Amino acid sequence: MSWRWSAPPQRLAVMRVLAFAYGGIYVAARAPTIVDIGDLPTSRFDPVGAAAWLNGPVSPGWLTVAVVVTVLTSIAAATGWRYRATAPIAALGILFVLSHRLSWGQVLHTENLLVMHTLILAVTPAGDAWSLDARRRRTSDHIGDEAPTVYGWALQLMAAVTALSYVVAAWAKLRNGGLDWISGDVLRNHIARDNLRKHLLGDASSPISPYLVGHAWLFAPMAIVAMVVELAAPIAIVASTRLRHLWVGAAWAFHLGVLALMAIGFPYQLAFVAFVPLVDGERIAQRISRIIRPTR
Amino acid sequence: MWPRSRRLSTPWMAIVSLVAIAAVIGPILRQPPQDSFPLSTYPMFSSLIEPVTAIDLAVGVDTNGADVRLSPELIAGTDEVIIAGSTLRQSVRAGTTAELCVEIAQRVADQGDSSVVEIQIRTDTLDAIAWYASGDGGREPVERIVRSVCEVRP
Repeated sequence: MSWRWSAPPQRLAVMRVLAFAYGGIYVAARAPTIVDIGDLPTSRFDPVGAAAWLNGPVSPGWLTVAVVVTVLTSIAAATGWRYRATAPIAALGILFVLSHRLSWGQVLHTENLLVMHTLILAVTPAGDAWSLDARRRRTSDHIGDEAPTVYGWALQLMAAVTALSYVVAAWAKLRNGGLDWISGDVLRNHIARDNLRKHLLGDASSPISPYLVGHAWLFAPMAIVAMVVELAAPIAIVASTRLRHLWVGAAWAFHLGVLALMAIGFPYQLAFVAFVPLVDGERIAQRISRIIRPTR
Repeated sequence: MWPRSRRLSTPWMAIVSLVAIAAVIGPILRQPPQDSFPLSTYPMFSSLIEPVTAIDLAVGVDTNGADVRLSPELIAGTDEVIIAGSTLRQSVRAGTTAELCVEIAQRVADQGDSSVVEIQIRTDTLDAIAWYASGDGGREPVERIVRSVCEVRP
């Protein structure tokens, strides 16, 4: 059993850098939509998540402020500058602006793990290494010998949240669809309907699904694989390193399949950031660093 | 101010862990299960459905009577297709398609596209499998309900 309760602070730092950098870039890239949405009629506002307490939409002016604060604090948290102050603000900012954007009648699930991971990072000492705070304290960047279990715990918690979200998704399929879901017909119907809806509404749809939908036999294996990947997610937190990496690869490929068949992108997963708590991030970072700076 | 790393206590870690894990599995324990953001039941594509589906659409009609696809910007004033779709759904459900039709017609007129002379908000019921698997023969709506029609006045 490889429940990794100990980890160097650098491993958690890699997750901090990637998650907050991703969050800041993502919110900045979506800023026009996030802000403009405040102009839509109030009657269409159906608040969810951290926006649920609002009586009406936030004005574009205040949304601009929220976006700017979120992006700036996300950059600060990624670099580990005043981490204990900037990380919670960034995490709550990401939570709020994305909640507000999804408060118009359609809840999506592509950003859930980003929000959960940044919220967890915000209450952990992820700024202890490879950060401006560590440099300012004039400590070496390896300062975690006294409490490696803290860093391991934070990573394991994010890994558990990632794994549980897949189990919940599998549970929903079994609860709503039962064993019929893995017959393949249900998946085929979903893929056909979703692509048709997108096509008619002018959205990007899958270029390959129109050809696959005519071949019904393909969909039972696809459904079984999807269900196995989701139900096997606990492997990610309790199994050996090899099995954990195998699951990570399968989960990443699963999202690639969803993108190819349904034109639904889970960018946080496809960018691999969602799976960083499940790998030895600091070793990968050091290898990349050696490639970039081979003389050192 | 959060405690320094070496002072993170076991109870603190336990509380954070319990809250995070409860947040992820909590939505499915509620009756009925409740989907929200970021705490979700992940219901997407889980239900048993048939290939036949009703889709709410807003289309332009040109001088020849042919359909002209409208952008999400024209339908809902946003470039988000998902919001355009939910705007149409909400409007059909609330019985406010006449108002939405006029809004869309105004946006089309403001854009100055003279080929579109009429806006239709309608619900087309289509067989999605037949649409893709049976070629043009499968693309006729099983049913079409026209909710509202309005003129585009330049």
